[in-house]
Amino acid sequence: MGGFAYSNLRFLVVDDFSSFRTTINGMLNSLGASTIVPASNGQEALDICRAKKFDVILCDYDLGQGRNGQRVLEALRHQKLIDRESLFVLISADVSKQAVMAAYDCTPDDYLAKPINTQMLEKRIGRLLEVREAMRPAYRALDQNDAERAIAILTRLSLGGGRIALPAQKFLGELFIESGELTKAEKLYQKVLENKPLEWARLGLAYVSQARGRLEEAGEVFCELAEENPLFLPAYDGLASNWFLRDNPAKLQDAIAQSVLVSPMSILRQKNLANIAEKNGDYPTALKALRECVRLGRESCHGSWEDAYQFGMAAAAAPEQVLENNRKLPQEALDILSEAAGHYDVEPEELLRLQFLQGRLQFLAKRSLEGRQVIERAEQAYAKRTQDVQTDIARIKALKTLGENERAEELVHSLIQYYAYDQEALERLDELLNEPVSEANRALVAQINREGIELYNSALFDDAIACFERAQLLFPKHVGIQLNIVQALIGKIQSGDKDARIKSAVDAALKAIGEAVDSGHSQYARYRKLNAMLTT
Amino acid sequence: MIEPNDIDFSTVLASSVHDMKNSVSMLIASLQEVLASMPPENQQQSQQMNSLHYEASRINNELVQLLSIYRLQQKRLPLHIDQHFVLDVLEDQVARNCPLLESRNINVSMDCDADLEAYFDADLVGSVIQNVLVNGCRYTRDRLFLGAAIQDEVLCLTVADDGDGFPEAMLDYPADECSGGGHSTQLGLYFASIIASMHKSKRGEGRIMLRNGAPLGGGVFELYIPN
Repeated sequence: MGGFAYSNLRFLVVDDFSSFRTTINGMLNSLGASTIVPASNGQEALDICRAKKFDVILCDYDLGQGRNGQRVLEALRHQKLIDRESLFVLISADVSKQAVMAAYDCTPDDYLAKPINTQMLEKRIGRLLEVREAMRPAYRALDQNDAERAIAILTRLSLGGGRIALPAQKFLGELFIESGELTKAEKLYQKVLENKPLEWARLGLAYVSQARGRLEEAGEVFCELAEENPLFLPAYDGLASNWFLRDNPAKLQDAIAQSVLVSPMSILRQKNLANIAEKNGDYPTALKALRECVRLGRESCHGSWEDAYQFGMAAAAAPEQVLENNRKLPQEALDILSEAAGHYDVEPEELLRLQFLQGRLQFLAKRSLEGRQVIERAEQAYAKRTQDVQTDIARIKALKTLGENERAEELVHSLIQYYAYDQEALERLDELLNEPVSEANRALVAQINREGIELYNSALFDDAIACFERAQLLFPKHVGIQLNIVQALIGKIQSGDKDARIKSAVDAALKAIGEAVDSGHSQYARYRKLNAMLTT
Repeated sequence: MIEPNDIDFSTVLASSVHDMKNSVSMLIASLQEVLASMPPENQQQSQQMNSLHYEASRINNELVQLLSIYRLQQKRLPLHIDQHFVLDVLEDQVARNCPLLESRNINVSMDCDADLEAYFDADLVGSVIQNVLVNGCRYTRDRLFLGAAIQDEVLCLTVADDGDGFPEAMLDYPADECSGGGHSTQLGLYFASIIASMHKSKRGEGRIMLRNGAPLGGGVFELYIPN
């Protein structure tokens, strides 16, 4: 260590206080560094990195107004302004390294707590550089998409002992899993675990089990890790991937919600939470997460006006009881939208769907006249434009809000014709329909249905109902699914369950279906049959 | 209306400690900048600067510990055990306290194998060593010793000085926690023994020990971590 020619290294020092920059500058000078570029805020740092490459970036967490140090790192990595070879060291006065590190999406290469002195800087940077130098050939191989060579280099490093061995092992394990070398990954982790039950190795081994299809086993380990160390974010991410694979949207939402609690500043996790909560019909959670996305997005490179749009769409679609608890929701959404439209550059072709949404929200905010006018103006503009499916959806939803249901239905049907060969557009249209038209969603409903019927045939009625209810969440008005639920409930009664609530649930469901289908509906015969079963 | 009794005192205290800690960090940073731009002109000034720096570091450490104990209680200070080079952790603490050690003309010697590796939480153990080191600066004459070795799968970290040693009453710590000795709250020792006992393995639980004598003839703090 210490053998680094500081004179050849390029440093960037980011801090809003010039005195601190001068101090760090002096320290680096005394270590022999000569290329030291100062930046006084996040934007400046990004601009400088666009033009120049640095070996080490020392960045304060607190940069006053604008982006903080974590957001600078996030933007640098996201915009690919720095690669693995640039070291990013976060400096902060905060004591709790874990709290600062865990709160965001990105992890810096190192963390230094203030106050800082030359000796500290020398030791830490020296160690980081030593590891970087050793790993450089592996990084280069990966940049050239040569995973095989990277693996060979890392294998050699991990067996060589010394300071490089541990980071090389960790990296190697991840690479093995990525490239499907599960047996090798397993061996690596097991060897580590023979000595000590270290978190990272247990995590890696769980991913190996998961990749081998042993989902329950992997899930248990992710759970254990999260329980033992509630700040260990990779455990929640593992858990989320696990519930995703096990196709359990409720548990998936729980796992993401837990990670958001630990990592409240992570805009990507908030976005995930919003999406899954919306899919699960949990509007309060979705709205809360989207509100956070909008707030965090102001300083994050992952922020976009689409967050505000999504918030608006969710607010406009929220069921009555959500609105009852928060009468100001439509107005809040309008405020958020107009702020976003001012903050971001909204493309002209996207303005139209924004207008449809704004009209809807005004209507819901009890300014029906204004709302109607906005939608009508948007309608006029719509006629002059080329079609795109997102605007179409916004338009149809706006018409529904105005109560013009028949016209909306007609439009939906003409859109199905129009997008007949565009599966992606059809998938988006599915949300407007009682039954899916896209192949992907048809297949999904068919599969869930198959599973449910199998469970029903094995007399596992509760599991079958849970299965059908998942499909119902996707297509609340799908008559076939509704009838499946009724049939499973009847099966439950016939198997001897005397709970009176089941009977009333069946009655209510059949009544609702009866109102939706007439004798021309393809499911009418089945509806009659189930109705008859109940009365006998 | 919030009544004073509705407030959770420990939460209020913790957030205020957090602010104080950030202020003290700023203060130490400014102090270092002042020292860099205006070096002391005479012995007396340099002494005054030293004592400013030392007391600020002590407040800093104490606040860090208070905060850590709070986090521990809230179960927000989880143990994060990984494999580390012991020398790195010791060197970090010496480097962090370099200005203090230099200003007091304290010579630090170290006995730790360069490739000695062990399993422990580097942040928590580092903060214990840091605290003992700063404390040692106060009681030593002019030498401090840092050592590390593994025996029977137990890592032993030693911080020793050449001062007058610990008072008799403290040598029983933690068996006799109340004796106090009158001159210290012993928060540091309490913190150290908690961090030690969080480290467990089949070899048992971690612990601390205080004694006087070798290697420098003064006080010796030992932290045992089963591996």
